[in-house]
Amino acid sequence: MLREFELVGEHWRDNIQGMELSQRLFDALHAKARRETRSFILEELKKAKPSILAGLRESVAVAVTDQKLRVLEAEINQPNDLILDNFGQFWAAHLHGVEQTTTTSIASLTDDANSSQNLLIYGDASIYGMWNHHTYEPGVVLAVGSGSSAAARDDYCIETPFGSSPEDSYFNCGNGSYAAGYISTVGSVSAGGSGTVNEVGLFLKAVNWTAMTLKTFMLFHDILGSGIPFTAGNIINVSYSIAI
Amino acid sequence: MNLKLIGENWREKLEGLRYSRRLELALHEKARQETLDWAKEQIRDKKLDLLRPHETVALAVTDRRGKILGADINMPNDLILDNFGRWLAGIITPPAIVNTTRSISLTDINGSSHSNHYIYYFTDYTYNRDGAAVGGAMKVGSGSSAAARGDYDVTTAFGGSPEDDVFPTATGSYSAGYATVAGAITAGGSGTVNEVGLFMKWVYYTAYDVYVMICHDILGSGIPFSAGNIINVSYSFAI
Repeated sequence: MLREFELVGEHWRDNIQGMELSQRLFDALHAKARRETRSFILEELKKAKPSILAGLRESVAVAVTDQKLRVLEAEINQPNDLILDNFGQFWAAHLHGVEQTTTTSIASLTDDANSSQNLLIYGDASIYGMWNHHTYEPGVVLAVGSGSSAAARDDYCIETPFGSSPEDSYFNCGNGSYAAGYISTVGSVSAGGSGTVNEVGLFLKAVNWTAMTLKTFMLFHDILGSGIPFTAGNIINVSYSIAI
Repeated sequence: MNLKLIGENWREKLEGLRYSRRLELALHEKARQETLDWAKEQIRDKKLDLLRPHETVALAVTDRRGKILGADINMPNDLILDNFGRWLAGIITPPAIVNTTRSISLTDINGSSHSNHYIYYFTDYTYNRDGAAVGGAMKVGSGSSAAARGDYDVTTAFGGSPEDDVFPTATGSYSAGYATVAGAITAGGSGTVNEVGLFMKWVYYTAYDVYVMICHDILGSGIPFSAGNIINVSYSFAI
């Protein structure tokens, strides 16, 4: 049964139009993205100096559907996309020696307005400036846009947000789940206008230590293999998968 | 000028050199190259679903003056563990949720599972509150069994102290795609290091702190040490 969702051939994009969107289809899209990444890496490895020494890998699948979740078009990320500096800074600050004075475990991330913000990774539970203090509603959100420039490690926001609402704003993902080496999450937004999705971002909302205000930080930025058009009433479905 | 570790006898060539940041970087570079070579073989043989290296570890045993007695890197097929995956999945939580309902289950160094590590909260339950001592730690052992995703401690801890226990890392740093952290311990006994684990000490429920292993690496060959030697460990995550 799973084989029917293996996306093969040049026309895989056309072949899935009209199908009902499901987790199995998202899984097939991620598998396709991973195969393309593998091919990309193999090509890179033929070079004397590969530009990549691959690390953690994320893939993103986007499907625009009608209200009944029938796929109008779907796409995956380009294989050379990157997890961003912000994620590296965030994780590195967790690697802070136990027993040390933990109020020095600060991650410096760039927010979506290109401003540097300090996050307190380890601290006293009574400190309202802790990065994850739930009073401020921290968490993870998604965003889409029409920009198609190559992703770069120091990206901090969607290149070209849409002009119509609510697809011009962040939208929630579901709770992340983990199984057998893959972390995954999905989210969707019902379009109010029309446009073409070319880029997707996953963002962390976290608290600035000293200002004690919630800021938004891009962790992943992905450019799709081709643009996915949508019109008002269509649902833009995004699925992220991170391989560890 | 960058150091390059080449040839079959690179391990022997290190002996007597001073352990330095430059050498540490060269060891990670060597580990990454071996991982890539291994992954290339795996992909060509259609054995691997996806190339997904991961973290590398470099270990050097030195004398008190920093001279290398032996050094090695991880085997290329080692894994980041389930515990890390569960933590990162927990970070991915929508902000509108009542976050007290969102907790993750991690397996501690004793093999016990605790389901109340809260990612987004503000009291004693939060995984990163420092009322307990929280942060990164390492442990070395003599076991050489292959690492598995569900591992939670080194396979065979040493009998001598303090190398039988976890020891704190220094402060981690990030630059150009790599997050790195180092740590060291002076041996009280003797043995051969075959395995290394990276741990996080995180809190669950009401301020109970536990060590949680997130990476387990087996070295390419065993590195012997004796009392007074320094066991230096460096982890690097490629993102």
